[in-house]
Amino acid sequence: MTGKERIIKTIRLEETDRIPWVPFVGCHGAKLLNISAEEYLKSSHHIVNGISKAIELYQPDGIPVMFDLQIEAEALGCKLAWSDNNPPAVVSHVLSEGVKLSDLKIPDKNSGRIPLIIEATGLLRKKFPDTALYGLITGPFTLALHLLGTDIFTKMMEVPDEIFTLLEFTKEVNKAMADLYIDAGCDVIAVVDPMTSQIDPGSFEMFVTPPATEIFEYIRKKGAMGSFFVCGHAQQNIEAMCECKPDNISIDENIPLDFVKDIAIRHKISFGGNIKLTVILLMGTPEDAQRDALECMDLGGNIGFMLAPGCDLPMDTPVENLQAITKLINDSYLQEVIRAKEKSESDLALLNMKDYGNANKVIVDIITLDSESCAPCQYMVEAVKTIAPQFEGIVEWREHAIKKMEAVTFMNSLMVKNIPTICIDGKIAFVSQIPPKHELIAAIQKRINEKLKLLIKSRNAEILIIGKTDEECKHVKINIKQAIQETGKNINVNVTTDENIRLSFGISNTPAVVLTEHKVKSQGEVPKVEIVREWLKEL
Amino acid sequence: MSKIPVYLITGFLGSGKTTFLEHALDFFNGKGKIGIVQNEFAPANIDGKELKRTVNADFNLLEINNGSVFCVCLLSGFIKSLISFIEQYHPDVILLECSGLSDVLSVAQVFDAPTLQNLVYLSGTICIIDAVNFEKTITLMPRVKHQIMLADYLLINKADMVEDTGKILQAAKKINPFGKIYTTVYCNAPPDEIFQPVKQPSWEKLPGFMASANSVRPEIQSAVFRSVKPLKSIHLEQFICAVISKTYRVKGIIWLDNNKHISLQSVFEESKYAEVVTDDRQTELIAVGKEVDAGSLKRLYHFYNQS
Repeated sequence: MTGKERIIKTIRLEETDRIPWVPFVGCHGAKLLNISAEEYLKSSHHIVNGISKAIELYQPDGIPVMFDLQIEAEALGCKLAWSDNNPPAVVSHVLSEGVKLSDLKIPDKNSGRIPLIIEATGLLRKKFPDTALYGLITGPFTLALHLLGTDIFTKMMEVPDEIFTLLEFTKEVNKAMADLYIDAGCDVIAVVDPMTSQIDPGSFEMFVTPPATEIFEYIRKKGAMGSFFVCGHAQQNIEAMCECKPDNISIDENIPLDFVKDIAIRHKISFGGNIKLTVILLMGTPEDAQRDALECMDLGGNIGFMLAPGCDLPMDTPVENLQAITKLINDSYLQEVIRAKEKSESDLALLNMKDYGNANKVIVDIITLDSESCAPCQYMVEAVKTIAPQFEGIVEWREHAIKKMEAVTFMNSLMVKNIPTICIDGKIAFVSQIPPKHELIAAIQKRINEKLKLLIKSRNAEILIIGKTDEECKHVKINIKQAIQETGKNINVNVTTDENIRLSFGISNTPAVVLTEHKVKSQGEVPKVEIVREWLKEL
Repeated sequence: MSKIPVYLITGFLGSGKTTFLEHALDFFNGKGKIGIVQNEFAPANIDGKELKRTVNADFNLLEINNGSVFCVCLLSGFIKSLISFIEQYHPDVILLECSGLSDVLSVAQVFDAPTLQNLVYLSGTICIIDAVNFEKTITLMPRVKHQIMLADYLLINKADMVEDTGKILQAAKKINPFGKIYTTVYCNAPPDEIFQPVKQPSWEKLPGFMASANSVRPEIQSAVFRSVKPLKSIHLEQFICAVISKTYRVKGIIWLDNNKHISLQSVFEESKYAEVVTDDRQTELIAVGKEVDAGSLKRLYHFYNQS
């Protein structure tokens, strides 16, 4: 199934092989080419290269040609302030500067930057026939706000007729833009109207519903599909948005996805969203991105849902965060692993694993999802199981299937992040990859050798008695010797009366006893034999 | 360098935010370096120039004309600008005038960004209500309502231009029962009450408590937590107790699984909460405290949502 087919089927609420993925690459394309947002958004050549690069890196099912909600306003005479790492901003509003609405002409293929978008769309269409291309239009209300400025809010209350006329005009602009994009090869026309999030449902129905409904009807008649994009707190308007009969609605993180799903599916409309842009995609790690994307996927479900960021991707979004989502969407096994790990999030307690791995045997832990249902886990467990007997009882292995809570705690305590993983004596040894037999044997043998060395070293363990005079140390030495004899350990006992050594351990009262690891065990007293025996266990 | 307190000034277009800013500048004048951040959805930032003309106080101004800090996709640019502004001028306090269309929580969340967390914290939110247009704006503009719900201080401004502010006061109390409300003309609220620094709780003032800390001033942090999952109502009190034990101040709305919304305001040991009528279906909390972070709030919320 091609990406484009997947998008079409999803919009028709038909079953697909997986959830489609639509990263909204706007000026993020500039980052991929290492140029400024301004250079990027002013060149069809750069846009084609940026989107091609994004398709290569993120393997999307659909992608917008350009994400710039200032194009129509600019073509109609509004001034823009350009920025290096953001889309431009509209800084002058023609209708509040003396220009009459009747003087404004509907932009055509030669206005402003429209020619370069048309060119880029045509080139991308040829290059990527299997990827759905999105043509983005500034929605009727947001475009009206660009043209008039924030006076629109007061005028809606005071002179609504003036706003109706303005929206009639912006509706025609939308239809003209839809024509241009569809003819150039776009599959989906997204009517992006973020400023509608500022108004209540009553105002939405009065001002936005009539033009929006007509626009979506028009897009459908032209044989394309229409998506209604909104960002911000537009929760109150989702129902009204669906009543405009788009083929899809797309929202950002400000609206709960399940809330949108319920309404959209009731209206038989597909929906998309809403990976968190700033906190997760821009500032988070690839793991954060996968967790958040999976949460969206689980809420969105397999029918009628497209995975997408909430809005235009911030320019500096790390490439690896988006690639992590590409990996996730294609890997149902990874999805299960993250789901299982997620369960553990609220489990705050971790085990103290500091001394794990000091047993007489070498312990091999295999952290799995569940070796019965997960093939890589099964092979990893079998690899260990096969070689363990060769070590004749020195090696003990255990499987920890993280479908069980205690295994999750164990996994977190060992700082294991990937499944399956092999740990040898509590240290991560093999991650995700099933090791060849000889490597696994070598790794275990290495640990056995290490333990052997430690054992030999412990024979050189030392106890230091520090006193002001030899006489003072005498009784301490007798007790220690007895304890050593009773435990059969091989430990050297030394006595010193050197004041510098005493001070270096911070000892003020003598006689004092210090073990090999520089642990001061007692000061100013003669320790009893049974106490010394307890100390010796540490050596 | 100690962290810089940030005060958010919200309110719909034309409510008097710039007038309030002028009073704030008078108040802070001579008390250290002042940084003003203005984000207006207006051509060529008229307000910024106006301020420079009318106010005597010395301040540095950061103007954000890039649309409006209303959309999450524009916040990243805002973070960069704010950091370079702080590095250049080292302000002792920052007054951030939000665009009338801003989402307070998204702006507050910016201060959780790893790059900003060690530079600033959110010290308070002030919302200016336009008494004249209150009834229209509160019904037509959902953001206005949201700004009122999350404010620590509310100014019902232009009180001289309406007959009765009683109704507005009641309506504001209904959605923000614990915010401190002033009825004002030209935003004449007492700045010394509004701009109180975040205080340490009494238990941390006990002798010896701070002895272990290196700095005299605790490392205050602010954090924003939001969730689109409701909290189990049976665990509301436990959750509140757990949150306030970790924070100096908390303000926000908790959405419960019985579909009720609870307004919460807590200052140290004293916490108040009550049901408010809204259809937000979200939990949104702004917390200020020593080493408070969004992650620990999230873990607590999930913890109390289990079983």
